[in-house]
Parts: sequence; structure tokens; C-alpha cells
Amino acid sequence: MKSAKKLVDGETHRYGMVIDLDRCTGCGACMVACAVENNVPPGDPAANERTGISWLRVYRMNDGQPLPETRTAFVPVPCQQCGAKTPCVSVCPQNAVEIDRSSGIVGQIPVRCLGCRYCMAACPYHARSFNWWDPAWPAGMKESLNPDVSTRTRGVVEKCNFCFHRLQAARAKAAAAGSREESPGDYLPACVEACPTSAFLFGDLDDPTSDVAKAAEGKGTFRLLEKLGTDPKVIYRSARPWIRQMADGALPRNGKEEHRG
Amino acid sequence: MTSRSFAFVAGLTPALVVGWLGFPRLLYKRVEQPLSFSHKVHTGEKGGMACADCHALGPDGRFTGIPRLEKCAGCHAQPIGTTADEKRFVDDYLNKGQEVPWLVYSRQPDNVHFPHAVHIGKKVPCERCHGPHGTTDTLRAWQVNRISGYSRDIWGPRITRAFRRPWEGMKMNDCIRCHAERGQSSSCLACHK
Amino acid sequence: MRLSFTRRDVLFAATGSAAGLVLSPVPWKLLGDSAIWTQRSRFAPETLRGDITTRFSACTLCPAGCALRARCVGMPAVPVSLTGVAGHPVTHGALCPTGFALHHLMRHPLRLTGPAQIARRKGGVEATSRMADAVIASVADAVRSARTAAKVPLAVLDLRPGRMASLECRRPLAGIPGALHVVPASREASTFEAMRIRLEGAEGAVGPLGIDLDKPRTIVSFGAPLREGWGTPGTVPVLVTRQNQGSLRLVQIEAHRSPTAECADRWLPIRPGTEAAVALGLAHVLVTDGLVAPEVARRARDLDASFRTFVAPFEPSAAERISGIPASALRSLAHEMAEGSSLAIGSGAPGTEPLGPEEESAIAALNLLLGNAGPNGSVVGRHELPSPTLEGSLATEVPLTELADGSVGVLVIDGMAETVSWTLIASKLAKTATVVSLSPWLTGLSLHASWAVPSPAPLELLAEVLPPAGAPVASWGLALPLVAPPENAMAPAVFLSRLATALGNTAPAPEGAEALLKRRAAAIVAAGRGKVFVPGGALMAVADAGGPNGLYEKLSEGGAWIDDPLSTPTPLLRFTLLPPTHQEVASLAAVATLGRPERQGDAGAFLEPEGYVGATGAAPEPTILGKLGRESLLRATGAARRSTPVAIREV
Repeated sequence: MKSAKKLVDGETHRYGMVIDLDRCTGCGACMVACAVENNVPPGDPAANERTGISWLRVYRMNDGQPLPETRTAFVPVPCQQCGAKTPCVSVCPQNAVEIDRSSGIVGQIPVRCLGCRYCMAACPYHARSFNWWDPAWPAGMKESLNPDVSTRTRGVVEKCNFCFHRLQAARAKAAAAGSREESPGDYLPACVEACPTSAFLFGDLDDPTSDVAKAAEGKGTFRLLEKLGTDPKVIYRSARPWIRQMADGALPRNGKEEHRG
Repeated sequence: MTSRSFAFVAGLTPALVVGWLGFPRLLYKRVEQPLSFSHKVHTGEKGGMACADCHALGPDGRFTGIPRLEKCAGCHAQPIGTTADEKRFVDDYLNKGQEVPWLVYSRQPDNVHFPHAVHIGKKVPCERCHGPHGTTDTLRAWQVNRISGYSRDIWGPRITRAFRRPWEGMKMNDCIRCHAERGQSSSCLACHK
Repeated sequence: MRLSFTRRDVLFAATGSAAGLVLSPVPWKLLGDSAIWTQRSRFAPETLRGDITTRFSACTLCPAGCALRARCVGMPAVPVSLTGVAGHPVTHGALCPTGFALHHLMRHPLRLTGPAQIARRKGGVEATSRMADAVIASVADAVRSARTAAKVPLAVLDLRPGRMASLECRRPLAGIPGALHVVPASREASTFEAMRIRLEGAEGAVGPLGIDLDKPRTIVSFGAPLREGWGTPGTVPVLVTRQNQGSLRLVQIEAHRSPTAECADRWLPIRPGTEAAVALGLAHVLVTDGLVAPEVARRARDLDASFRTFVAPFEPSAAERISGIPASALRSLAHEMAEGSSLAIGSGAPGTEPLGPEEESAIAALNLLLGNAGPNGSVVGRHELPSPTLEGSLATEVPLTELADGSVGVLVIDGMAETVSWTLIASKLAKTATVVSLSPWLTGLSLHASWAVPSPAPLELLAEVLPPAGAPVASWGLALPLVAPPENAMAPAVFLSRLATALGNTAPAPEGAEALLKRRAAAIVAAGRGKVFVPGGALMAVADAGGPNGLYEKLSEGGAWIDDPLSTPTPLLRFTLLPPTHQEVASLAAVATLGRPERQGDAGAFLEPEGYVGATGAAPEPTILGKLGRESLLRATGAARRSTPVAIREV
């Protein structure tokens, strides 16, 4: 797969990830680590898969064969961090969504958000969640919130930002050591760090020496709904052709699909 | 003067007085610091210390803010001076192992990420944002906005925010202006978490 | 001039005030500040501020004991996020989803923070707070009256035996007449004992058995949750890598489509409870097609006679009738297992009861026939974890299964339910028995208790990490407390010591976990085997760890001790096969033919128990794990998971 050219002027890094779907076991460790890291509250008792908040969802899909020959795959879907035609950025009336030039990361600023949810309608990946309820943690659990991420109120949209606060921490560490550039090993999002099977590779896609850039060019890579031209910075990899076909919605829909979103 | 304009002025004047003088007093609650502390004694000729001697960066680049007890105890394990507050510090806090609940003038809201390491590294002196705080002899009362809960230093001491000196005010606009002057990023994520 | 106000003047004055206010900061500042107010902590809590520190501990929720690196904030430090310890020799840095939210469990709504009396009401249980002294006095009274009424006045069921803390509990018990320390029967030992298999090395019998997952080319799993962290989540990356390389084929034989079945190379759905029939069907093919390992065939001279007779009824076609697996699939699977190195493992699926000893025996027989437990097999022996000898008398340790039915007057349950079912426990209780639970949560077995004296939860107490089940070598780690336990929580040893005092025995004060664990460290240093892992560093020899204190220190900083493999890596296999008339074999035959009786549904439909218990036993699920079920459908909670193709076909 060809890496798309830089589309935003002045970008110095283009952080992205390669997710090896053949290594994902669907355990959900990344989702829990993500929620804990980003102070995502436990769902309201009435929350379901449409109204709950998850910055990273692992979808289960199958190849549509009858049981027991069905093949199952798990697809972790964080914000795809689109680099071009970024649908959420172009529709936001509040400028609450923008691409951070220094990292290529699409940022969502909840305090600026007015909750119109245009961005959720625009996002083709269902990567955005709306706070339908006041955030509620069981008594005494507020103490265990991550101090690097602020909490959100009811009525705003939130989404994955590749744990931007970790990039900030890496930059601060580099600055304290007298360097302007964060060292690549210091910045890993929580999901990448959490994955027990190392299905995630993370780094600068524009750095040709990085593992992630090499993996992104490797065999069997694809991106979700590539035909939309959104240039996502989340790249998937699988040796199984049916998974690759699924990515562009090429597999016939037959009502047996388990994935909903 | 007609009675109409007299009535108008009679309504206008108290409103202006209340609005400009009374309201700020009402809006901000004054809270005294738990102890008096003289930066001047520490940074002046007697102490000869620099800001970074107490307000340092941690090894991970995280700013440690107001020093904790053990830092103070390095010198003040026993009272050095003769002030009552120093004795109180040793008796009430140090010997009980209880941190002093200092009130931070420049505390930013929860959604702001301000890495000291990045700014100090780019040769922004402490005084650019904190003014002559390091040379004050007493700690002024901490003032908190009763509605927003923010420290008054975020807005700045003058309610008009006119003719303010560079360090007066720590609102987002103040950050943005300095970033623009220095050609730094004005991306939301750069400062918000 | 006469001062007179007209209505018009008042209006002008009001207009003036309004104009004055508009020209003052009042409305503008109020507008701005109230906008900020809507974003403030009233609606969304503010996070703690303070120093960030990194500390190490381990998750003691399940026996896997995964090492943890905790990011803590403030003073006293509160853990805000947990991750695995990279490069750890046992866990390989892996954690299960529950592990990532372990620090939430201390604040779980079901957490007990002090002694309580538990009453069962319609629609649930109710815990009423009681003083510790009152609870201990009541339990002591119950023990006194049980002295005449029951054969065993006091029994302490230790759900995780072998810890130093277990030894510490046995000390105060020793002084109480008739008190017993009860342990669940070790499944590894009972399985192999049932088959009369012993691995013997040059130094005699080897210790516990483990599994080397690097060896087998085919793993046939009877419901073992291999890809869900069987043993420890650290095994998952090993399996995934080997499966992707094509050097391992995982065949899952399980009634429902579990996550492991989804990730297996082949899923063979069976009728629930017919694992033994499948295993014996495979054994039948191995015996009749001459696929038994040559060494085994040479040693077991009676194999041809008695074992052949025993497995004779389980022809693949018979096994197909019982289990639903096609005979051809069974036959080809048996051939595949015999072709290369293979391994058969059995275990109850998560959320179900574990397999019975008979079924485990049938599965163990496959390993035996294929030579998997012999030289070069994947079933390996390991050293015992070095243990110090404790002076003073200790209460007798008795397996739960050996207690007489209806004999226990007062039962104290130390820990959470993991492998022991309440049905089994209840059968051992006298009619008027009192049950005391020492679990930190009001879940699982504690729901059956009448008194609860909560012990500190994981991350609240100093504990040790024993080798996880199935580990090929022994290992040892420490779980350090990160937060203080609730004021009224009580360690089990303290409770038992106070109970002994209330019964008029002068029990020695508990030695304390740290002193005890340092003794274990000394025993390990004295044994001189193994290596020490330090986060971010290379493995070092035990001799270089700086003595017992040095070892203890390294382990409290996220390190781990990992044993050397047995010096005789190819133990000799000694075994005899029981004759078909033997009682255990007869019950195996019965189970295999009929399936487990409690699992037979009249309508043929089979319902799995609700919930996803997983490896964590009966601890409550952190609320954030709702992200995996309700909020994303990743863990299906609907009928899809709980019914099986076979069951559906039959309905």
C-alpha cells in the first residue's frame, strides 16, 4: 500500500498505527485500558452498544460461512485519524475538531463542543461517542482518575486522540533533557501498550526507519473504507483475504453478520 | 439639569460603582494562605536561591510545582529564623508529616495542559508568566471566582484586563497571543487535554 | 427646587442603572463565568493532582498472579492505571481485561468494608454491619456448640493453599481441638493419580506437572480457555505466534462457541458433557490403529488386553452418537495427534463447572498413550517451589473431598470461589452449620455465608505469587500493597488468631506477611536454583541477588524469580493402567456413555450459566468491563453464546 502524501502543511510527524488482525484475539484488554487511561466512565445502566462511550471498539466479524466452519476475526477500531477530507473536521460548526499539525492527530476538544453531533453523523467509522448521561463513577472511584486527561460532561462528543497526553508527556520529557523532538519509544497509546499479543504497532508513518512505516508498506495491509479517500492513519494487516474484502464492504451482506455499530 | 437626566445619572452612577467596584469584590472570595512565606528572603541576598532550586522539573519532565515537605525540611528541619509562622510550619506541618495546603495562584483549569519543561526550554523566563512573584515578601490572599472556581490570576488583577503587564492574566487568549508572537502552534490539542 | 419624583423619573433611573450595568463588567463576566461553571466538577469530576510515581505489584485475583506496573498519583499514592511488566518471564507483560481495571475493584459496589451479618431475603442477600468483636464472639459460640453437635467443630477452607499465608492460618488453628485446615483437592495431582501416572526422574518422583507450550504441534483442547488466558494471559501471545507461523494447530472441542473456539484452527462442537466420550473415542482409534507411542506400548504390556477392552465400546461411530462429532473427524484427529508432537488438555470452559476427575482422566489417558508425558513430550515435571520449614505445630491439612458428609459445624472460607462448587461444600456441612466468609466482596461463596469478615482485596495486602497452573517451571513473585485496606478489613490469619483467643487458646500473634515471605526468599536463596528478573534488566543468577533480603527487594520492585527446568528433562514414565473393573474406571465409562448427569437437559437444549466468570473466579467484574459486553457486543451476552449448534439442531 502506498502511503498517502502529506496533505497538511507544516506537519512534522504523522503518527499512525498498524493493527495486525491475525494477532488480535478479541480479548478486549485494549478497550479496558483505553477507558481507564482516558477517564471514560462506566456506562449508564441504560447504555447500549450505540449509546455507550468507547474510544476504541473491537468489532467481531465472520466470513458468513455456516457454523461450525465460521471464521471469526476481531477488528479494533479506534478513531482512524483521517488525513484528508477529514469528515468530522469539515462539519464541526464550533472548530472543536481539528488536525494537530505537529502530529497529524485529529483532536476533539470536548469543552468547545456544543453537542450537535454532526461529526458523529459524518464519521464513516463510528469512532465517535456522545455523552448521553452525566459521567458517573462508583463512590470513591473518582480518586483513580488519570490526572492527565480531563473528564467530560454530558452533552459533548468525545473520541480517541491516540492518547495525545502521552505525546505531551514524551515532549515534556524530551524538553527536560534538552531535546526538541520526543523519542519514539516514549510515546505509545494505552491500547498499544496494553495489547497482550502485540497486535498494534505504533509510530511515525513518515519516518521511513520506523517499524510502523515498514509494516504499513508490507504485504496484506489495507485501510477501512479506503474508497472514501479519507486517508486514515490506522492501517490494518491480515493474511486472510476475506478480512481484506470486508474492509471495503465488498463481502455480501447476508443478515448473519454479527457486527453492528 | 433636568430631572430626567438627573434620574438617569442617579441610576447610572450607583450601577457603575457597584458594577466596577462592588462586583469584583463580591465575585472573588479571598482566602488567606495557610502560612506566610517570603520569596524575597529565599531569593534575595540572604537566601540566594533560584526559582528552580525549589520549583523543579522531575526526571520525566513533569513540573513538580510547589515543593513538598521534604524539600523544605532540607533546611527547615529546625526553625532557622524567628518568625511565628516558621515555628508553626515546623510544629504543625513538618513534625506531623502533613503537607502545607498552599493555594496556587496560577492553577489552570483541569482541561489545560501546561508543560513547564517545554516553555522553560525555549527560554521563557519564569517572570514572563509569574511576574515578580519570586521577589515578594508576603503572600497575598488567594482569590477564587465564586462561580467558575478559577483563581483570580487567570483573569488577571484588573477586571478590565486593559493596560495589563505581560504576566497579568493567564487566560487562553494570553497563551495564544504569546504563541502567535513566537510562531508556536495554536492547535487546540497543544494545550488542552 | 422642589424634589418630586414622577413615574417617569423612576423609569429613567432604572434605565440609567441598566445602562450602568451594561457598561460595567457584571453581565459579561457573569456570562463567561457561568459558561465555565457548566463545565466544572459539579457535572464532571476533577482529577487528582500530585506527583506521579510508578510502583510494582501483582494481581492476586486469580492464581495467574500477573505482575503489574502501577501509575500512581498524589500522596498517599493512588493507582490510576495498571499495565503489565514488559519482559516478565512468566506473564510476558500480558494482562487480562480485568487486570487493567483491578484498581477499580477495591471500590466496587459489592465490596465489603467491614464485618457483617448476612441474611438471605427474597430476591437477594442483605449485609448488616457488625462489630468485629461481636462477629468473632458469635463464631466462637458456634464453634463451642459444634463441639458436641458435629464431628469437625471448625474447618477452614483455604481456596488457594500453598501460600505462606496458608501456613500462618494453620498456626492458630493448631491450638483449637478438632480444627482442620481444608484444601480443595489439587486437580493436577488427582488427575494423574487417578490414572496412576507418576513421572520419575533420577532423584525420584518429580514435583508438580506443567505444560511446555513450545513443544506440541497439535493441541486438542477440551474446553480449555487457551486463547483467553488459560493458566496465565502470558500464554496467549505464545500460542498466537505459533498459530500464525503454522507451527501449531489448535483444535477446540467444546459445546459452545467460546472465544477460544472462535480463534481455534478447528472447532468441533459437541453435545454438552460428552468430553469423556470424545476422549475415549480418540483413545479407541489410537489403540486399534496402532498409533500408541512405541515406548508406552512396550511398557504397558496389558495395554492390548484390558485397555483395549475398556475402550472397545467407544468406536468412533459410538462416540459420534454420544457427542455429535463425525466419526471421520475423530479418526483423522487421532491420526493427526499421533503424527507429530501433540497435547490434549481439558478444563471447564469459563463460566462452567470444571470437568470431573473421570473426564480429566480420559483426557490424561490420551497424553499417556501418545507419549506426551514421557521423554520429549509436552507434559513436563517441575521443581517444587522452595518452602521454609516453620517451627511450632500446624493444624492438619485435609482435602475437602476426604471430609465426611455432614460433618462440619463451623466452616470458614478463606478466599473467593475458584474451582470449588458450593454443592460440594454444602454436602460436607452439618445441618446447623455456620459459614463464615473472608472474601473482600459479597459475591460467590460469601453469598452462602451467615457472617462475613472481609479480608483486604488485591492491591491492599502483601501477598505472594505462586507458580500459575500448568507452568513448566516454578516461579515466585510478590504482590505489594498499593493502597491501605479499609479500616475494618482483617487478614484471615488475624481473624483466626482472634477466634482462637476467643475460644480460650493463647494463639501466637501472626508473624506478619513480610517476615514470612522473607523466609520463603531465604529458602529460595538456599536452594540456589533459578534466575531473578528485574524490570528492564537482564536475568541474574540467584546467587547475585544479594541474599534473601536482596532477593526480596528485587521482587518488591517488580522482579520475579524463575526456576531452572528440572535437571532431568526427560523423566522416566512409570505407570500402570487400572483394570476396567476398577471403580474409577467404571465411573469414567458411565460418564462417557451418559454424559454428566447434571448437564442433561430434558428438552435437549443446554443453557450455559449467565455471565463470564473467566479466570477470576467469583470476584465481581469491574464496572468498566461493561464496555466489552453491553456497550460494544464484543462479549456476546445473548443467546448466540449460550446455545450450541448441536443443541439447536436437537431442539
